[in-house]
Amino acid sequence: MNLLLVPLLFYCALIILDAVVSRLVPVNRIASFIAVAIPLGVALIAYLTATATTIDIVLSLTMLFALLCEIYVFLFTLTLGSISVNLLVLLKDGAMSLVQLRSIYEGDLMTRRRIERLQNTGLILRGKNGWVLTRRGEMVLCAFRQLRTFFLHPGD
Amino acid sequence: MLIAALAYVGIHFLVYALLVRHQRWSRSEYGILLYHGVSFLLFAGCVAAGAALKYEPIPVAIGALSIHGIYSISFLELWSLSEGSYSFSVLHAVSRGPLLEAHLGELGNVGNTKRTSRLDSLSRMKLIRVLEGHVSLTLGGKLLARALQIIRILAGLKRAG
Repeated sequence: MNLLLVPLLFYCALIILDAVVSRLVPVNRIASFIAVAIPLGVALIAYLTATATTIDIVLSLTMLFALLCEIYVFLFTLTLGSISVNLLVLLKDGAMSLVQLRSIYEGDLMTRRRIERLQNTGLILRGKNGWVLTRRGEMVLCAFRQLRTFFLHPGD
Repeated sequence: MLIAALAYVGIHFLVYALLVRHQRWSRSEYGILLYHGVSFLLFAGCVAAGAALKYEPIPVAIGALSIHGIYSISFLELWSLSEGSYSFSVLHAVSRGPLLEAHLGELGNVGNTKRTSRLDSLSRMKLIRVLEGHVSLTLGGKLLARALQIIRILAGLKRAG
């Protein structure tokens, strides 16, 4: 078999397995993907080590598999959280009026959906006095702020 | 070639950290995309030349390109997320003190602004058209929407936003 096909075949297996696991085990989407990708990645490295001629080729084809995984994670986090993507998918079935779009994407509704998602991912929780950050949420926010400082994004 | 690829992306990142990020053009989405896109194309040209002259086998050339791909995608994701994600706006609002129902209006305005700016961006990218108060997909928009729908189905995702 052409060695270039091997990471592609493992990647196809990953997509299929991930699709099955995500429907059977309702956990954080990225965590479930990683849980499937790591064993397959290890299996890929083992197969390539047994069949490839040089370590360079093993590493190269592993890098290709890693790139494909990253592209897939990027695409599904994009479809999960992107307003633009959701707008495109919504319009797939036909035109909508700006009034309809405004009611579906009304600011408060969008905020509530986002708050719900942040609660489900354990970054905020609802206390007696309103929503507060969890420890994990504090860490993520801290990381966001450090990135903003590094990238020199305009201040808050 | 893999070590050369790692060295190249290392230098690319250092140049960004020391010089490029201080330039105004690099602080826009288009600018940062250009910085990585041009780099990738130049790098791909060199890698292709190396493979064509048989200095390295094709799988290794693909591995080198993958290294740059992983670096650029990770960089651009982090840049984009930290630039103005809605989640960041909500987390930031919550960090200022318990977020009450009464505060949701302020965040709602952020949501309204994002919705409007997204419609504008999609229109500029010719993925949608707005005609007499109605929004519809262009052909490009329809193709992209179908591809995104397939990804959603594969990934078992419900509605986002």
